[in-house]
Amino acid sequence: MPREMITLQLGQCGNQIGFEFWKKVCAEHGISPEGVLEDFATNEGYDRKDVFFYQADDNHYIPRAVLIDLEPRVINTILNSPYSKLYNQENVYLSKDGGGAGNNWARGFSSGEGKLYEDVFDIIDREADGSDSLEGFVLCHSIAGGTGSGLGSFMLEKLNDRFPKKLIQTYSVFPNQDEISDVVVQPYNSLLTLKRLALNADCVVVLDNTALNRIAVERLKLTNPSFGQINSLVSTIMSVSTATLRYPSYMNNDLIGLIAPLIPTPRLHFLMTGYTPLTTDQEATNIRKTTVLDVMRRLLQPSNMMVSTAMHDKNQGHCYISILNIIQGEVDPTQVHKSLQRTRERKLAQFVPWGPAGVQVALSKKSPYIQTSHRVSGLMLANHTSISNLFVRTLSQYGKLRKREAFLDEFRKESLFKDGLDELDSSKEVVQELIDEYQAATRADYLNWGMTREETVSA
Amino acid sequence: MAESKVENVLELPSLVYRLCSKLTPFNTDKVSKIYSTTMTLLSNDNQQMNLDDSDEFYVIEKIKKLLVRNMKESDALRFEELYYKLKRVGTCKNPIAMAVFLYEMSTLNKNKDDKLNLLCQDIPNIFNHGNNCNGNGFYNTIPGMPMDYVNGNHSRKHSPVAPIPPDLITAFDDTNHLPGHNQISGRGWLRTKGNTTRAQRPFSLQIDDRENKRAYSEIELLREILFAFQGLNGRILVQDPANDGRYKINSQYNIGVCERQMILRLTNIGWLFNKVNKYCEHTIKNDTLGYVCQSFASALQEEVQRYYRLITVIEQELHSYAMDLNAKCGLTLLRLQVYIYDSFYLLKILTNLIENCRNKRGGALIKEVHKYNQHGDPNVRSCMTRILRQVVLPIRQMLSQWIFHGEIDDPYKEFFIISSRPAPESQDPMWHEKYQLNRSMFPGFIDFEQGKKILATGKAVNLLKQVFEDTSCVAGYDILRKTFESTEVELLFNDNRRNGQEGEFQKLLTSAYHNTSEKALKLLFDSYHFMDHLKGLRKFMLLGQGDFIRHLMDLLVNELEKPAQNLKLLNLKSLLNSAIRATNAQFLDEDVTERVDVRFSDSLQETGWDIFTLDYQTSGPIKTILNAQIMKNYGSLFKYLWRSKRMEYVLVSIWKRQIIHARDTKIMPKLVPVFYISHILQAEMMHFIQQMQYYIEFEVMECSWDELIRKMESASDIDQLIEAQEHFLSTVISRSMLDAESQSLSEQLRAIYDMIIQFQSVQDNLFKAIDTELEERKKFDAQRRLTQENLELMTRKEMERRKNFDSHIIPDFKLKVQLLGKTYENMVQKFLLLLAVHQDADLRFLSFRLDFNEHYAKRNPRLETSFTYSKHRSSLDSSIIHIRSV
Repeated sequence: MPREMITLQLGQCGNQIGFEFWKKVCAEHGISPEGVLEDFATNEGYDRKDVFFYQADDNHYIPRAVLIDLEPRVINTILNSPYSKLYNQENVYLSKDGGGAGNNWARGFSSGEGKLYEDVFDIIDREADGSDSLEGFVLCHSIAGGTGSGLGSFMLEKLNDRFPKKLIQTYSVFPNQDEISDVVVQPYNSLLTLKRLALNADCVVVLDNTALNRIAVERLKLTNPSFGQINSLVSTIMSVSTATLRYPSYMNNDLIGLIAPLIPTPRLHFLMTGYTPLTTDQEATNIRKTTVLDVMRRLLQPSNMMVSTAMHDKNQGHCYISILNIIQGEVDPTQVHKSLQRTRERKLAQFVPWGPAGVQVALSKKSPYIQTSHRVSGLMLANHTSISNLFVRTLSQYGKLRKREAFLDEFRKESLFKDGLDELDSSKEVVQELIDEYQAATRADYLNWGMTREETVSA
Repeated sequence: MAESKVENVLELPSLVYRLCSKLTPFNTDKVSKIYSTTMTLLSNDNQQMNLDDSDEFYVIEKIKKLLVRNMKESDALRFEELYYKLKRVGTCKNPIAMAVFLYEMSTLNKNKDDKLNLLCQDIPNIFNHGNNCNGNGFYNTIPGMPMDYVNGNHSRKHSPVAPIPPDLITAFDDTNHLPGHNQISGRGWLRTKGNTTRAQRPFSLQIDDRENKRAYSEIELLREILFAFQGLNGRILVQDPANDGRYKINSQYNIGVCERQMILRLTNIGWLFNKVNKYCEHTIKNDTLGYVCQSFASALQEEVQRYYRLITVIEQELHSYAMDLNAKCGLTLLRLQVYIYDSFYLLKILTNLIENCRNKRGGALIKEVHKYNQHGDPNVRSCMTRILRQVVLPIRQMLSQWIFHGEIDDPYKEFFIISSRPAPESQDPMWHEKYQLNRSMFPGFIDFEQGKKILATGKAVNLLKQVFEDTSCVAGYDILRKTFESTEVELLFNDNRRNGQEGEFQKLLTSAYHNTSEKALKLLFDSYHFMDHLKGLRKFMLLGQGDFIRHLMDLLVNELEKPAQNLKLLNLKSLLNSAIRATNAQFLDEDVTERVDVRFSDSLQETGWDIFTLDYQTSGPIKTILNAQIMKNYGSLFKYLWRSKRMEYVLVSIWKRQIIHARDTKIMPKLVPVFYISHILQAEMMHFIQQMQYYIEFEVMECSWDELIRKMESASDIDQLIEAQEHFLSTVISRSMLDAESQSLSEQLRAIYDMIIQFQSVQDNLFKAIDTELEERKKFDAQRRLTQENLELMTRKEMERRKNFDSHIIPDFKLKVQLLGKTYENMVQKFLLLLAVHQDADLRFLSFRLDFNEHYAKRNPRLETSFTYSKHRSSLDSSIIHIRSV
């Protein structure tokens, strides 16, 4: 059947971006906030709604989404919005005490145990049973807070156990490094979550708040970008990256077919994104003529990347492992060809030296119900070794904090850390390994590096 | 005069003058005029007067006859005696010339002044013998006989008619080759025209008792000639089978040499006439030759009738001449020749035409006749038009039948459209094959472009008829038909379309073509949803409905792994149907989805993958365009695309299992090396397949499809739809390396795909081995917990097995994958090398796609050079284009 995807929204951030995602997807499929197909949405057979929705007995479209939070604020906002009737109310899980995780990974993680685990997996099992050929799960969360990171990590581990053969993709929001966070334990939270993302997720789409904010300020000229504005950027990325699953065509009709070519070895599964052209609502009237050539060129510019890493720092020798450009709009295939030729001749993209790699292009249909001011738009999903810079940053922040043994009391309260801080050490190890592997992937002897790794693993 | 000795040439003029004044009763002025004429005559170069013996005899005979006619028999005898005496004596150098002169003078005697004047002017011509005589002497004095037609060379130069067989040329040119006689007989004819008394006839009773030959009268001779004109044998003139049935004169009759020649010349008409007649009889009897031949024969017969009418008129004249000795106008051989001249010429053209038409039928025959229709001679042209009118009738009938009823009623295969399959009633007409143009049967007045239009028109009508039973659906078509059927036949071939303007027939044709094509296309597109079927083909046969294909593969994968002979068609069909129901294919028109079917190709292959293919059933009018050949091509494209989809599917499923098993390294760290090497090889293969898929889908399919749809939408008739389809398929097939030129490439690709399948089985075995090993270890752990018995032995055994697994089984797999990877890389490099030197630029570009980061090029110096070479060449190409555009 349709290779369904079940979306799990965790924590405030996860539910916010999830909410934006469903809003966007509903609009693209012509589904009203109440879940009813709009009168104009007559283009049956053009799209596939059943990957992300299912139809209730009264033909209402219901998202295959599970909303989980430990505190009610965001979920209540959703349930008070015009989209409240969209969701299956049984799929909303709110912690009874409503106290939240207090931005503590450990509390978030341990709150999963017991009743929550059973309740949530009842919901997930029901959703999984309701789909014919479940492809996997999409997890939306942030890695810095308490619920998204802690409970998210818990869910990742459990999902892996319960559904060992299903894919797990995450949309993980990385914290903004440019502003001082009020969450002091953020480095701990991030590190502990990164371990699960490395070990238990199959594909992580990195949404870097640092870069998103910079893009909002520098590219969109927003002096003080709101959450809503940032989240609409995120929802664009999420909707375009799933476009080929929702609009069937010759290629890339399932998630696995989409991500498998991007991820050559299982650990190197952190993807960064880029999108062009970027506009806000105010700018919509200012129509620029975009071509495939423009889009393909701009996607390779670091300023359009939504990850704040020094991608093109020549000294580090970082390179692309793989690239997938999803192009939407009026596309002339010959132009794609031309721009690829240009990319190759001018060596605009540096690729790994240990295997064949190149720019893949997916030409995707787009929603017939949404008018865009641009003829062509493009999303880049890239596997780039410089993503490891994010982990390096996390690791160094962790190191500073750990050195001072700061803020560890709250962690020690939870079961996982009762007997010591081994979990932090093992997480550090995993993240360091990940960094090493990305470093190794920049070199021609990556294969040898990998083959001799058994010692480190066994150690 | 004969007695007198002319001793001095100088005395001659005075003698002549005296003679002139003596012989003529005129005054001195006139005498001197006659004298000067006479002198001119006499002083003419003798060599021009090179009359031979037969001429001499002829002249003498004529003079004798003249005397006899004037009741001077004794004078006649005496004249002959004297003449030969004179000749014997030799004083006169050229007695015959003298005799001619005297003869002419004697006839002058009885003429009026104006006649003399005429003569004076004509005299130089009279003696203007020799080769140049034919043009100006005799012929141009005959009114109503245009020169051009007399001189065969001239007329041939102007007419486009095929070369005339040599024997006919002789027959035709006989008149020209006769030395001298024309002049004399011409004079005779001229004179008889002016002086019509019977006594003056040049021909008269011929009595020659001396040689015991049979006698004949002039009337009899003329009658004989008329018989010959009608191709009959007479007593005097008989056909000579030894000479192709030409006439000869019965040797029992003694006919003067001069007359003999003329008679033989005249009888050639009979010979030609017989040829025409024979052809007609032969053709009419032989009804297997077809309608066109029959009408040709009947048209020829009509011409024969006309000829008969002429003969009848002549016969009548002869009759009245025979009855009434004083009839005012009589027949002579010359006169006959003039009477018959046009017919003679026409018969020659006709026999010529018959020769050219021999063994031709139908349109080809019409084409021959049509060539003659452009003849310069209005007589010939009108005759040809008459014939054409008849000859085209059967074709016109067929044309009408075809254009207005879409049927071909052509038992003798004469029409320029042939139906190659003899089942017009069959439900599924395969147009493309069924109706074709037959170039050899094009009548001259329809060119190939028109032919194509006519073909398209009929096909459209054929289609319309199948749907609506008649053509009433096309507005005004009946009126058009009536117009066509009521128009002059001549419009068919005398259509004036050279002036840039469409002729009547052309207009009719064009409007029929437009009306029907438009209607048929509308019908195809609107009632038969042709575009939907086209999209259906794209979605199913060309794998465009990706979600359906993927799901179908999900459902079929286990079935298709089975040996081919274990597959059940019904089983697969039901899986196909559930794939349609479960995916967006369900939203397609039912008429489209119902046509999708499963088929087994009948190759003797091992697994279900090799024999499985989808099929798109076409029927009715749709099948006329998507004919068997086109569908066969779609079928082979499906197999090709399906195979590459399968590779993607295989690799993705390997990837997924690798991801899942990657967690096993926690338990079995020794797996890491074999896993890494497998990951990298998987990624390498995946890269190849992805790029191939992209290339096929977007650079080949999408581009060609756009073009196809554009052509479909702008097509003005059904044949153009078919052509566009064929063009599309041939482009896609060649770009997909399925054509003969890319055979080595497609073989290499096949080998690469085989490597992927091998890789799959290696991975399968690896995962199976891991699973078994894990199972064993789990079992051991469980047992160890349960029982303490034989723990030591068990543990030793367990450790041995584990060790064996780690140090033998895993390295074994590693080696296998390594080996596979090496072979695979070599194959890809060979493939890239083949691509780099391929003629097709698009395929050359595929190689840059497959090795975007020059991974292979760096590892293979040969590849690197070939890349730079092709790069160089492509930049060279673009510079050439640049120069051209400047």
